[in-house]
Amino acid sequence: MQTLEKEIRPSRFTAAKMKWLLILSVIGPGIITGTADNDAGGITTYAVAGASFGYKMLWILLIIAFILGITQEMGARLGLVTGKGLAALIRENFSIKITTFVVLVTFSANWANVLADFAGIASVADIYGVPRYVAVPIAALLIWLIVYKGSFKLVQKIFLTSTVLFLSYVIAGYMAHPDWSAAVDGIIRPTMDMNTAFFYTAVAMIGTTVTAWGQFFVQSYYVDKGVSSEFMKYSRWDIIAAAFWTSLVAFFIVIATAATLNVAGVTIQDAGQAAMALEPLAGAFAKHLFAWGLLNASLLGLAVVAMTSSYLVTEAFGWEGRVDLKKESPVFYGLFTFCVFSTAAAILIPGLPLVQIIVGSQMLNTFVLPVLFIAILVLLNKKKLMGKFANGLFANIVSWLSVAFIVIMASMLVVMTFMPGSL
Amino acid sequence: MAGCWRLSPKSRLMIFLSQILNLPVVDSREAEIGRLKDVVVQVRDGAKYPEVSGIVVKSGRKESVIPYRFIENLGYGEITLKKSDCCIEGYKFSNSEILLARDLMDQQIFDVGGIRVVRVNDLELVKIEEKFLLMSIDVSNRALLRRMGLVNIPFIRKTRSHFIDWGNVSLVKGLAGNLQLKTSKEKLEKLHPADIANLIENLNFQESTNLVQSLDEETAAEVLEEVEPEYKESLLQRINPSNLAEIVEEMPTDEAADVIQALSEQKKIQLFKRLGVRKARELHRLSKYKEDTAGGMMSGDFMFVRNDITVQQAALRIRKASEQYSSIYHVFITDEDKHLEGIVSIRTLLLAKQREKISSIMSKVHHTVRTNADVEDVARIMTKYNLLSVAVTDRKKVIKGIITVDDILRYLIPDA
Repeated sequence: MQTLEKEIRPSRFTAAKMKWLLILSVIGPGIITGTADNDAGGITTYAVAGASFGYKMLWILLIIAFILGITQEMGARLGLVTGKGLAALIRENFSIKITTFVVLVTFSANWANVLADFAGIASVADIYGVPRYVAVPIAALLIWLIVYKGSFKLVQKIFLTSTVLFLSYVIAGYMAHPDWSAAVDGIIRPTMDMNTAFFYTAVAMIGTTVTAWGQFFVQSYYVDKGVSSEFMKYSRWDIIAAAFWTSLVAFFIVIATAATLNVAGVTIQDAGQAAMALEPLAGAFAKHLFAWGLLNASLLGLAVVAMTSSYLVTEAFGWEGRVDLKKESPVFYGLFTFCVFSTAAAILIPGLPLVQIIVGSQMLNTFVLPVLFIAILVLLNKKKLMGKFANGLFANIVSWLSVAFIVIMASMLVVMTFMPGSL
Repeated sequence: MAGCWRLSPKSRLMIFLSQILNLPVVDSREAEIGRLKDVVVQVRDGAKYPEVSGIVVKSGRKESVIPYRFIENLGYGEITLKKSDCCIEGYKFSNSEILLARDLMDQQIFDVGGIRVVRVNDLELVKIEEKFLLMSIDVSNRALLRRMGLVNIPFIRKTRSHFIDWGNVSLVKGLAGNLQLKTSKEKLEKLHPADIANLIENLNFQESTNLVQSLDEETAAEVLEEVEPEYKESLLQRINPSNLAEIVEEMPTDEAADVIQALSEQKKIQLFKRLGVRKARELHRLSKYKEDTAGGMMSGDFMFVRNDITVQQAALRIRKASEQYSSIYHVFITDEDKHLEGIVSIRTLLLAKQREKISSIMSKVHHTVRTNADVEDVARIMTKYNLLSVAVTDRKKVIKGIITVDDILRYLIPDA
C-alpha cells in the first residue's frame, strides 16, 4: 500500500499550489456580483460623480469597498454553511408573508433595474447611430439564448469574461491623462462639498452598490458552486478581490470623467453622454472604450438581475418543477423570458418616464433592504443553523453598524429624490 | 370559519395545519394558557400515517408540550383542553417525533410517487375515530394563497389543492438532521437508483451528500453511477472518505475508476488508504489507461482459470470467488502465463461432466481488443460479431479486462 500511495501522489503537487487552486476554484460568485453592481446605473452614477465633482468623491469608494465586502461575506457564509438560497432560508425560518413581501418587492425593483440596463444598451446604440429598435431586441434575444441554451458552466464563463472586459474602463481612465496626485489625494483625504448635489451623488454611489438582488445572487451562486464550508476562508479571497476590482473599475470611471469633463466644465446626465463627451477631450478611442464598456456592463447586469429574479420566485414558492427535466423549471424560464422581453419592449415605448422608473426602483430597494438585512443578521445569529460560523459579538457590531449605515443612506436617497431641499 | 370544515360521508374531520397554528389554547377552566406553536406527531414502525401525540403551546417566551390525551378539541376557532395544569415544560422530543411546523412546514420533501423534490405549503390532519393522523401534504399554490388569507377571491376559490399522501413522502431534513427516520429512508430506497439520482441532482450539495451517505453502500454505489458527471464530481468531493471507500468497494471496477478520476489528489490518497488491498491494486492498474480507450473503459470484473484444471475444480473456484465479482457469466481460460486461450459460459460449465478438462469444453476466442484500442473500434467489433462482451488484452495477449455491451451503450449515449 505504501508504494501505491507514493505512485498516485504527484510529487510536484505542493501545499502552496493546492491552496492557489482552491482559491481559483471558489473565485467567481463575489467577483461577478460585485462587477454586475457596476451596471448601467452604477456607471452613470460614477461618471456623473467624476464629471460634477472631479476627484473629490474618490474616498467614498473606500467605504463602498468595505460595505461590499461586509455584505457579500454575510451572503457567502449563509450560502456555504446552509447550502440554501436566501429566499428558501427566509421562507423556512420566518413566515410566508414576509417571504412574499420580500420576493415581490425585490422582483419589481429588479424589473426596473433590467430596464435601466436596456436603457444603457439603447444609449450605446444611439452613439453608433444604430436604431434602438434593432439593438435592443438583438441584445434581449442574445441574453435569452445564452441563458436558455447554455449550461451553468458556459454562463459562468461568459460572466467571468465579461468581468475581465471591464478593463476597458481602466484603460479609458488611463487614456484620459488624469492628474494622479489629485486622484491619490482624493482617495486619502475625505472632503465634502456642503451642498445637496454632492451629498445626493455620494449616497447614490453607495445605493447602487448594495442591492437586494445582489444579496440573493451572491448567496445562490455560492450554493450552486457547491463549495463546502471548509472553503470558507478561500471564499474570503473571492470577496476581497471583488471589493477591490469593483472599486478599482469605479475609480477609473470617476477619474476618466474627472480628468476631462470636469476640467472642461461639461455636465452629463448619463453614461452614454459621458462617452460622447469624452471624444473631443480624450480621443475617439476613449469614447469607444467607454461605450463598449457600457454595453458590456449593461448586458452582464441585465442577465444577472433577470436570472436572480427568476431564481428568487421559483425558490421561494417551490416552483422548481420536476426533476427529470434536467434544466431549470418552465416557471424559471417563463419568468426569465418575461423579465427580459417585457423590459426590452418597455424601453422602446417613446416618452417612457425612465428616470422616474429608475428612482422608483431605488425606492423599492430601500423598502426591502432593512427587512432583508435584518433577516440575514437574525439567520447569522442562529447557532442551530450556522454552528461555529454564527456571528460573534465583534461580527455583530460591525455588521449591524454597516446595515444601519446602508439603510440610512438608502432612505436618504429616497427622501432627497422626493423632497429636494429637505436635507 | 364554518365554511372551512370539510365533513366526508364517514364524518371524518379534516383540518389544515396552517389554519390552527397560532390559535388560542384554552384549558378546562376556560383560561387561555397560550397559543398553538406546533403540532407533534409520532412516527411508528408499520403504521401508515403518523399520529398526533401532542401540541406545543407558546405563552410569552415560554414553550410547553401538552400530550394529546389531554386535548378535548383540536380544530378551527380555538383549541380546548380536558384539564388544567397539564403542560410539560422542558420536554425532550424523541427521534421518532416530528414537529410539523418546525420540521415540515415550508421545508423541502421528496415526493416518492412523483419522484421530485417539493416544498411543503400546508399539512392535512384527519381525525379518524379518536385519533388525529397526518394524512397528506399540500404542495399546491392554493395552499400558499390560503395562508396569505386570499382563498376567498373568486378565481382562486376554483383552484385545486394538490395533496401528496404521507405514504409517498420522504423527508429531506430527516435524513440530514437528528431525526433519523427509518421509514423515510425505506420509502426512498424503494425507488430505482436512477430516480434517486434524479432527486439528488435537485438538492443542494449538503443535502445530497447527506442523502448518499445515509443510503446503504450498495444502493449508494448504484445511485452514484447514475448521477450526471458534472454534478457527480462535486458530490464525490464532499462524501467523507471512509463512507466513499465503502461505496467504492461495492462498485464494479470500471465505475470505481471513474470515481477515482473525479477526485482531487488529496481525496484520492485518503480513499486509497481506506480501500481493501485487492480493490486498490485493481483500480490503480486501471487508472493507467487513457479514458477513451478500451483500457480506460474495461472492467476488472472477470474471472479466469488455468487451462489444465477440471470442470469440478473450476466450479469450486467460482463458488469461492463469486463474492468478489458483481456478475459472472463467463470464465476465461488462459495458459500458465495468463495468455487468453478460450472462454466457457456458466451454462456450458454446468452441463459438462465434472471430470472433464476445462480446455476440452472451452470455445476459442476469436475476437479480442487491445488495451489501447479506440472505443469506437471496440463498438464496431462488438456490433459486427454480435458480442455481448469482449476481452481486452495487452500486446502479449495477456488478458487485462472485459468490456460489456452496457459499457459501450453508456459511452455512446452518455446523458441517459
